[in-house]
Amino acid sequence: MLTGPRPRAACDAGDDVRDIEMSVRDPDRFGAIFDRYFGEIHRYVARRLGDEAADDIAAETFLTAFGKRHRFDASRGIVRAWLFGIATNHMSHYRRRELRKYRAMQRAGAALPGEGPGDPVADLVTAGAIHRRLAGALAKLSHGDREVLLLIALGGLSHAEVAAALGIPYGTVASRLSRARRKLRAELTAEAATSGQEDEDDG
Amino acid sequence: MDELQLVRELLAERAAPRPEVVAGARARTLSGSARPRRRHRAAIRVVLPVSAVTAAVAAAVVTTVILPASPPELGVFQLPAGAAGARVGSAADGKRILLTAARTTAGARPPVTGRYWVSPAVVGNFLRVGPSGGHYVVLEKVSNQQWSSNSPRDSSPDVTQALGVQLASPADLAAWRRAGSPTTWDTGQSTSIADPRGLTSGSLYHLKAGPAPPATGTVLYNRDQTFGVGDKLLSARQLLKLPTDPARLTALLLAGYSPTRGDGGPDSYLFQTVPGILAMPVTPAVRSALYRILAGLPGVHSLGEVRDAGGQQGVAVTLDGGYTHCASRFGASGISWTFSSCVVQQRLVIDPATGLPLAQELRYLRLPPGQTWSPPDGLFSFQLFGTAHWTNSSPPVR
Repeated sequence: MLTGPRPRAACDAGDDVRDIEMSVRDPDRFGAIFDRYFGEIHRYVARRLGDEAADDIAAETFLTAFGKRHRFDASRGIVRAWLFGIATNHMSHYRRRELRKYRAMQRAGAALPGEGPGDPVADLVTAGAIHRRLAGALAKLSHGDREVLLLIALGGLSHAEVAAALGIPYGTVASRLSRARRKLRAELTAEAATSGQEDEDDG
Repeated sequence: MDELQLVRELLAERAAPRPEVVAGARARTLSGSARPRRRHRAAIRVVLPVSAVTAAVAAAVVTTVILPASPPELGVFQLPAGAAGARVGSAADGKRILLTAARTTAGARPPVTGRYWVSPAVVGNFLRVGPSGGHYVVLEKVSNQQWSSNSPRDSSPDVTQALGVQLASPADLAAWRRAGSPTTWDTGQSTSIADPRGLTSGSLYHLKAGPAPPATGTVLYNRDQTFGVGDKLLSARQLLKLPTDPARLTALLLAGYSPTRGDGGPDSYLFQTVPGILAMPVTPAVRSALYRILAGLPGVHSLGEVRDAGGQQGVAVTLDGGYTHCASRFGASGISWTFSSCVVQQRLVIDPATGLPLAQELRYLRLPPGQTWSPPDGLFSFQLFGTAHWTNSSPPVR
């Protein structure tokens, strides 16, 4: 019935779908889905928005998923992608905050202004100039390109999972990803060529 | 250059979420189980005149309980005289009770506002625990106090406090002593009123005999949007804009209903969820419309004058329903649909003076086939409403 957290490798998509379907009449079954994915969703959101926002968004994601569990369509995607899709929707309310964070990271020299409790920035203090340029480049990506890039880079989703999570065609995933990578590379090399300008605020 | 690797370095791995965050989110997710939104389940409380019972509830919530050093001797639950065996009256009388409440609440003053809407309640659930062959029935009582923030800047904590366990009857007390007077049990979680099929909220739960200090599960998400109406979470301000036409209001409420196998249908859903909305800071006109909705349900009957499980005197209406897939809440295996059917009476006890709910109760009229025990008078779950009110003070725990 109730299972403890299981490593991802130990369960297959069939387990997930069975748990979701059974949870419609046996809500407790959803606990297995929660145990399997809450940590993963939380860590993904925390990397983008910090721990405090991740507490909110991950909780909200699973509450939403629970409420929609009877509408989960196994033929349209896998549970993990479905959860990342819901988390992405919830994160969209934090878009401006995320952009502010990237711009702050771009500006940061030796230290960054804190973003409140639960959002330590110690790891950024040592971030090199290239990371600062990268942060600025992330802020300049289009929203759709950034979602694809981060679901793949941070979430570890496959192209097919990203397509399911965002509800976009498979081919669009590939084109958005390559465009995002191209833009990042261009920003990094362009700024490297004009070293010293990376601290300019792009607004 | 690998941009993806650079992104991973820039947005570095974070520590796993804190255990209390995970536990809180898990409980909240699964407690969405019985109803589509959590506040339907838990926010069943209303502005009431302060009675002895509700005053005791409020006091219990804010007082830090000193835990006894030795295991407590457990008391025995006594169903208040007049709380059992009420005769089911006519549908016409049931309708009359509800329309009277509709008129009474319509005349009430609209709510003023404050920083938090505080809604206290006491929830009781009867559980069978103990060793195989030596089972006994306990009553777990929990005080739930919800602080619903009126500002997006404040979060909305739920202050929960275990009030301690009682044995259901003298026979259960004897069985408990024979089992060695244990003071902890693993059981199904039962901190909110069950759904009519006997399903409580979810995961395994370590039940302790004694009272506990208040604890909080802070609702961080949505902040001030904590009032579940239909399929939406609304702020106090949005509550004021609810339609006052019963038909439109019904449509809005039923947006939150999705049929699952063996449930009682939309009428049972409305009967179960409307009291929670009566408990919110809605306008008198909306409260009146909510009662009109209940009065329009064909299965509603009068129970006449009753006492609720807390001994409060009121008038009651019922909605009886036969259910398939009735839950067992007992045992280490958690919740499962172990029973094929049950017949349950949903009771709503109303204070005739204010027109506001005093209690919600669930009783087995016919036990699930195979269930060999019964809680007192079939009463397996109840919720007593405390005095809901606006306040400018801060939650007792955060």
